Amino acid sequence: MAPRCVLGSVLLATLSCAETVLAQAPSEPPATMFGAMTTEEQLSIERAIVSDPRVRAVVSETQPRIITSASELDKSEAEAFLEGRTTTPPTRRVTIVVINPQSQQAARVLFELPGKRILAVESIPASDVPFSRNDADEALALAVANPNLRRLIGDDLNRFQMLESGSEARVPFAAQALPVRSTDPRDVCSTDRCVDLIFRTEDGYFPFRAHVNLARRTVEIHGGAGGQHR
Amino acid sequence: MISLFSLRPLLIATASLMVSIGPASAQPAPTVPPIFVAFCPNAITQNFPTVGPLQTTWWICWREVAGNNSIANPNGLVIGPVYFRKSATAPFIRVLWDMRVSEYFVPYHPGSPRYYDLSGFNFKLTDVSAADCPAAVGGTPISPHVCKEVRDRGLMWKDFRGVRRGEELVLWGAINAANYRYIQEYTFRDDGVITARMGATGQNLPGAELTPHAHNAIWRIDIDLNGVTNNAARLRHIESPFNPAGTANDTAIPITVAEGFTWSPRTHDSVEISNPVFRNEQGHLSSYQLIPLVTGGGLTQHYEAFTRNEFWVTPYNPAQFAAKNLPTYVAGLAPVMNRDLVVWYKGSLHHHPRDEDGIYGQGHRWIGTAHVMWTGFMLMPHNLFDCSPFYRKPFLPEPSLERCPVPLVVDPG
Repeated sequence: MAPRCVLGSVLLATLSCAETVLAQAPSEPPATMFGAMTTEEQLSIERAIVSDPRVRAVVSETQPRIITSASELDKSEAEAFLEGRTTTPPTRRVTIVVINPQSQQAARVLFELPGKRILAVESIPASDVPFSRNDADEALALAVANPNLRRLIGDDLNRFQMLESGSEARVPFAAQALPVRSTDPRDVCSTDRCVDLIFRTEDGYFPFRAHVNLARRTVEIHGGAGGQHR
Repeated sequence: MISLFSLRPLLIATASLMVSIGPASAQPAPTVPPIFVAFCPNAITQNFPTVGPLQTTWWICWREVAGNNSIANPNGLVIGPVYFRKSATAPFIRVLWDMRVSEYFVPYHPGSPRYYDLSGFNFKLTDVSAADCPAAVGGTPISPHVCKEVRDRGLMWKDFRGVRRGEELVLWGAINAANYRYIQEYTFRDDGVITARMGATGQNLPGAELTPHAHNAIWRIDIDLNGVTNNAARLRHIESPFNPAGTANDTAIPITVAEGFTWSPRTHDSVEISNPVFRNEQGHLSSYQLIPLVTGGGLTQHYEAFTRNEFWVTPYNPAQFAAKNLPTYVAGLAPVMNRDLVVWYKGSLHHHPRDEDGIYGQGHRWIGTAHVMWTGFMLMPHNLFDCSPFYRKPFLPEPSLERCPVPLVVDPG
């Protein structure tokens, strides 16, 4: 078996030398081509964002909330890299949402990572602003202060902690957030940022949701009536 | 655009066959080119059949997106680029650039709540373990969140000559959407078929455990059939049950500008993607057809405009990932002929809660779980192969293995 492996490998390597497009990797493989951003990259983004006059014109806030997407590659450059037409790794770009937490005014910014420069800025509606951990924590704080919810859960309400998205942590008192957007113009959640909180213990989920309007800072209890299957 | 991977297929295939690992098995070793690995550290090579002489091969790049803005860049298992080789002597062709779920939209029958279960709170893939992905069924956890399974897929064909079973590679992960889990499953079959499915499972919504609702998955499929210059057509089966002649017609209507359109169970609607310069050895235009895999006989539509079509075709735009914005993506009627295009598909599950989902226990807590329901679609090759794949051996002697059983008569049309 071993000789066959060597022979095959040698042939493959020979082919690589003969024609660089297919099998020859760049001398410094870009290990982070699809990877997460570094802290330095994140900081450079935030510096560029808060100092950009186009962004400030939209959000008019010196300390806006900044939400950064995972990076994506420029497709045509990625194709050129794959086809061996260039050894330069493709450009990575991220979409950043900048929001004024008070006014809910928001801007979307397209940012190029290698050049550390802003490519485009546009104003966006609140519905295009993703919910963040800050929103969830704020909702939980409002819920914990709500007397109706406290009557239902008791003093254990103080023990609930917000689970990170994707977390399977078996914490005994877990709260989770489900953002809500309504299409009914009579529903304030068609314009306001709203979130449902659900609460889980080792015994399962409580049979109700805390419906939190972050803009109006209100909490309603939904569900809990039970019922029967049809 | 012709794929680079088509340049030296024969030589690479030869090298692939010679680089063997393992015992006496004819299984070739992974041979993803270094440039592909440099681009995609998660690259997978899958040869079929898994035992015996190689016939077809997939090169699959996958990655996990786990960011903080699922509207701009949806989280989850992302597939692409993907290349397929229809025989050991054929070139690799690109099939996909980026395929992923754009959104899970879950409206409840009373009109509220209406959850965006992927973009809403940037839900991410959850853990998979050996219990999810056991080796005994061909499973291998290939990351903390992704399982790979290589397995028998049942009958491939059965006729007067005999029978053959098929095989497939499956990649899956599951989005943790609080009380629910959404399985994102992508299957690559030995015969060039790709399937994508959503599986919905978990705890019924607290406080609305008995409330009917729908789970809609909207996939964004950046398909690149042998390059980015592609065309799309709407395929329909037209037949009147009141026509005594019993005749039927299949129509293919080219899609010239960005648009959305519906699926009907009576007309077998599907979307065909082709490349104007990509033909098989018979001279026939090769294509992939996006065919819904509908569970429960229907697909729901809702008040939200983006749910009123099952299919959408848009020009490629790196800033367009949000299913909820599809109506605006097509509003400008941008041309999509001979372009880099993106196909979107919405599948839905109707979930009417049942006792099997759970029961109220002590303290009115919900005890139980909703078992997995599935919906999805298939990408099926059409005139990609030159003849029936996996049909030669053992009926015809080697060296017919890599060729069609009879000399091809090329259709000049």
